[in-house]
Amino acid sequence: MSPAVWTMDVFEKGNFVLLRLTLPLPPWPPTGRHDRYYDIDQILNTPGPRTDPAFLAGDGVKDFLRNQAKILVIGAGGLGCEILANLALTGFKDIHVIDMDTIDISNLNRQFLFRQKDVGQPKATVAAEFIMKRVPGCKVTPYFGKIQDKDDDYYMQFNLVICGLDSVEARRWMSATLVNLVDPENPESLKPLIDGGTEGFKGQARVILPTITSCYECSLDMLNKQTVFPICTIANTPRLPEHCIEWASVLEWPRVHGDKPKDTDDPEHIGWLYTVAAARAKEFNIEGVTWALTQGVVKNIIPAIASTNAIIAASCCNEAFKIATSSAAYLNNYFMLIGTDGVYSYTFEHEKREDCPVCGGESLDVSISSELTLEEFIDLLIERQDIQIKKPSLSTPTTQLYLQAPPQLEEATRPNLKKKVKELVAQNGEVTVTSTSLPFSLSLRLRFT
Amino acid sequence: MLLAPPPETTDCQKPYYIAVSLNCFTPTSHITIIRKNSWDGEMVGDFEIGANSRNPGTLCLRGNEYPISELLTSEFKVFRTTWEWKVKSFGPDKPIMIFWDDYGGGGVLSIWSMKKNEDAAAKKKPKTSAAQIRVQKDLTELDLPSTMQTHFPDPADLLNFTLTITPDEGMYKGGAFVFSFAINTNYPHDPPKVKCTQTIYHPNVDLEGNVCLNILREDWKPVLNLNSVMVGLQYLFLEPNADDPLNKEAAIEMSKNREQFLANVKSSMRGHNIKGVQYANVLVR
Amino acid sequence: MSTSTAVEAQPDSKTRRYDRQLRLWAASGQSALENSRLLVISASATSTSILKNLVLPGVGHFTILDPATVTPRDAGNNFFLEGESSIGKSRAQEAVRLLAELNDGVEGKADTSSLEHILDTNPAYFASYTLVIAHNLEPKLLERLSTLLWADDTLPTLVVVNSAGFLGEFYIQFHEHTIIDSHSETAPSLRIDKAFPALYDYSTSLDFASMDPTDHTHVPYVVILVRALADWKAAHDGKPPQTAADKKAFKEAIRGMQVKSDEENFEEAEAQAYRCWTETGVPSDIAALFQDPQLSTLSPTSPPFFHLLEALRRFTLEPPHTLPLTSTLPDMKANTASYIHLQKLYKTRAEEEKAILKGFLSVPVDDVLVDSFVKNAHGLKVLRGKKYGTLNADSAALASNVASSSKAAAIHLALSALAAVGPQPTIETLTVAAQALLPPGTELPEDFSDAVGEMCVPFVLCFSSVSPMPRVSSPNADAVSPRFAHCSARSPTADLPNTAAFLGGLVAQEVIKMITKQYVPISSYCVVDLVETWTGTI
Repeated sequence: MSPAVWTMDVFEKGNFVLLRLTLPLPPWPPTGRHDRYYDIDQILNTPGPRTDPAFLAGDGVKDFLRNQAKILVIGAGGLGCEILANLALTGFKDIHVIDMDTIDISNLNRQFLFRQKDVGQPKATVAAEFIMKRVPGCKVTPYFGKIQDKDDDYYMQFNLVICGLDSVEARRWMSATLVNLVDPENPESLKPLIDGGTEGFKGQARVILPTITSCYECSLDMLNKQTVFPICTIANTPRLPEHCIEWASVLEWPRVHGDKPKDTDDPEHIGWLYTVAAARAKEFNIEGVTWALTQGVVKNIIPAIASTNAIIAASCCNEAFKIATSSAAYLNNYFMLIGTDGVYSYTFEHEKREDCPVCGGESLDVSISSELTLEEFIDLLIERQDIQIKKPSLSTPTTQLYLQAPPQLEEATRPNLKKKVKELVAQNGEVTVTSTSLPFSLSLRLRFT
Repeated sequence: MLLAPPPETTDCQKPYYIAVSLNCFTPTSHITIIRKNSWDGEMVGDFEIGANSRNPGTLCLRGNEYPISELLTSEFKVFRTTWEWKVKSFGPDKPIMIFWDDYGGGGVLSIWSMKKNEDAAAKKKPKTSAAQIRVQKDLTELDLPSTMQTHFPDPADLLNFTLTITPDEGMYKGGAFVFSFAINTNYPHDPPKVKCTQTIYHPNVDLEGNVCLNILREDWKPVLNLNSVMVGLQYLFLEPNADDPLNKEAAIEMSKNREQFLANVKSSMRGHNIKGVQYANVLVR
Repeated sequence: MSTSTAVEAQPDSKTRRYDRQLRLWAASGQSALENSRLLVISASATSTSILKNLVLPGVGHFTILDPATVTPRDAGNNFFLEGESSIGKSRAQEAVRLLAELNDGVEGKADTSSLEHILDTNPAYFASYTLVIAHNLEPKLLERLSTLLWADDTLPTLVVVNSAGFLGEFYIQFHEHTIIDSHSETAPSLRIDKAFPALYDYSTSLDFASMDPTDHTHVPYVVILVRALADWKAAHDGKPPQTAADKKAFKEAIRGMQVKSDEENFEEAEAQAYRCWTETGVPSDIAALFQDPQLSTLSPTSPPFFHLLEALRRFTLEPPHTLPLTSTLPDMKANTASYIHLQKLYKTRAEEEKAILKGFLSVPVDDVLVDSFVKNAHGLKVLRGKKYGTLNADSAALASNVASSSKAAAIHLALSALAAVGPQPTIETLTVAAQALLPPGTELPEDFSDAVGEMCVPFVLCFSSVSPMPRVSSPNADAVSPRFAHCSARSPTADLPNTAAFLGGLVAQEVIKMITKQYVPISSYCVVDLVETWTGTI
């Protein structure tokens, strides 16, 4: 890449030497008038007052954005459709998208890359095809499946990941995976994660720099608690239509259908639950059991509209654009929007949690002799002044090395104590240590000498 | 702060000393001064970066002043705050890259060569999930009385096990009640799924094995742990609650006709049939 | 029980399509949307982003007014143009074609005339629309349009949207906006302190002492409180607990009613005990609505909302001087029978009070509307708007905004100045234009230079450290010497896809709130800064 050319004039004024830096002046009107990136290039040709110092305007950044950057979008639903369209328009050309769902009619009020004829098709595939047709030169690679199907090597190839998901579990997995990917010796292993979520007129977008800023796990306690009813209320003292629906779903379905799984996307199953719930409501003189409520309760439906998704997706993509190009400061680190009463938003820095099980635990590199037994190794850990561990339990990602309790597990893992650590853990292998004296856990990477 | 040269650089054996200090005139701005060999060694260069001077200024290098842009090129990686510093005198074929990583908020310095790190791919590491670590922590820190015992059908699988409660007082004394625990990967966001594996006569446990314990559903919080759940379960055998029942018949019996209820408990524990329901023999053998 | 009857109950495909939004604004909001007609001026990226979010949920009709043809620039940053193949075609027609594809139930129309021509020749053009949206409209035309639409309160609402690069703002011009269902998060009063006769009689007739212990743990807290309050008043000259000591004693009395510890319903009662000494009256914001000028000039042709408001006012003049009771009872610890019984008492009383309110109506009003009005009486809103441009014409008001919310004011001033200066701004011209809006001598907000800097690049001065002198950099050119003043364009005209999408979402949310008359729309400028990602209002 060629750095932008600056000119510098020197003036003297009193005791000071003044340097005047002149930025490259794009011709006016800009020569790129007819270019498809005319609007974007206004940003990329020139820095602004709050532009990161690392930003150097010009061809280099455009080349990175359009020819090198590789970006992964998780989810091709309400947020995903918007994210894909925005990324494509801002000039990202190598986009991958993962989604395990197929298109349902209730998606069509907001997932604007899908049409009635697409119902039943995989979201990722249809969305990718639509974007490639609408935005020439943009390559979107779909994967119709689960994020858990992919390994670290897969995630390693991207510069950035944007999540537009509605599942807490998938987000936790993605956040933890990217935190674990970070190798302090390889800056490229740090993949910024941008996460968006919406509910009705409300939403949030955040930037996570794995291991550096607060991760998804750090903020788990900020989640709204889903309404759960006491099982005895459901069983014996229903008062609300929701109690009747939960009775049908939690108690009657397994009682009547045994192990047959309940498919909340199957209208026959919803129909059964609705009928059972309605009969129970009638028996107890409770009003208000409807098909829509039944579906809402059993699927835990969250209201969703195009406009809120547009705001949050735009915010996510704007952060991706700014991070990838350094053309402006990026969000630090949490943006929350509430659109029910006027337009209220709150931008703040969510703090990293020291005792976060994903990014909070300390990580140590430990070199030990190949001859050391597990027992000797544990003694060594206990003796170490810097970590202060009492009664540690140790495991690797695949197996338990030694657990202090319960007795059965202690007994089962006790034979390992006499074994050499080298037989149990691979070179550079990871060992997780828990102990009552640790805030959460300690992660060790073992090197044998 | 110490800056070490990349190992493959032969003509740059000595460490760099780098001082980052506040500009007293614009406190939001930092001046970085780099020297060779020692804190008062030869000055290699300096530059200033700050909130009010976001546009690069000049850099003084071996007595000559250059616009930073001629010496500093930013890498268009996602690390927006990583600076790649090209030192002119080494020529284009032998670049030394100095990165100034400012993402943590202040002056972490590292040196990096343009050589791709080939080990990076080799360092692929499986990772223990948060749920797994949390379960390990919960289990190894269990503080259970002798009346409760865990059993792991597969000791390598910490996510599925049973808990046997053998009350040593109260109306359920003499029985051994077995609960299955199934923990999913969303633990502790999701509570463990607990069921009674036997058909028992208890106001708060239904015939399908569902258990009415608030912390298993509506009052579950991630700060609770497996110990809290187990203690809660044991409490149900010491103090059954007839007011909020799951097995309504048992509850009615318990509040209306305690004698009959106690008799039913005893007889059900022996595996008898009460009102058409066959209960499991749960007596400790 | 057969599954076939249940499957018949599955909603029709339109309801299924709109399911996720019907859960927010229900059938009434949906029908308002479907009866609305929108006019959007220009088919810019921002305009189509706004429209996308309104076509998807199903507005009735939209027209795009735009005489321009598609340039490569448009095709590159507007998702509702089809790349190469759209270039050279009518921008309005291409955008309408691709937007209409999103929803078969929406009618779209392209109009390639120019706004100026319509303003000159056919001012009645706008009357058939519900709402008009204008993006980055040239200031003189905008002034003409806003004046025209302000002339009469039957003319459409005007939404003005301006953006440049990472910055944007919008404003809604409307005369009056009434909201029945504001989706208020405060719950209506249960009126425990002013228990209606049936509730009072029921609560005082219960024999807590001889009650079955299981039933005792299932008496709803509302009943417990009404009873405890009645007992208290009987012993205290008919007065509720007043002092801190009273309140403590009252809570102790509730605890004393328990037959065993940890009765959850009594714990709930104790936690809700404040309801006994917090007098239920007319909330102050609702009382303020009774001063509305529309009430003093009420005529048979006044909107039904104000007839209902007048009836409500008269209702509150009568004892117990409260809003009519609503039948929504929150969930509480109770068994089915006692809860359903209590719910029935509330429902019956709510019907009675609604009938009383209806008696105060001087014109007939649709029952559905009365129901909704009574149910949401605690969250009613009346918003009064101002003509677009009022703020910028009032330098004192602008100055006070600069003082109170300087960051948002800085962006508003920069965008206002940009609109005035046109497409080739310099720091000086923008500064002069912004300064002209403020009273003489008022300083521009601190963040103004950052805001205009997004449109122009301020040059940088560095005091060098060739000699051991400290260096200083300053974005403020004038402080040193005006001859350094120099700038180049950053993004005075950039319609960035992300900014367009962000504004598209925000504006569509507000339009939906205006049309459905649900939730509360913004009644000031909304300002957006996507450099640091925040929104503000001035």
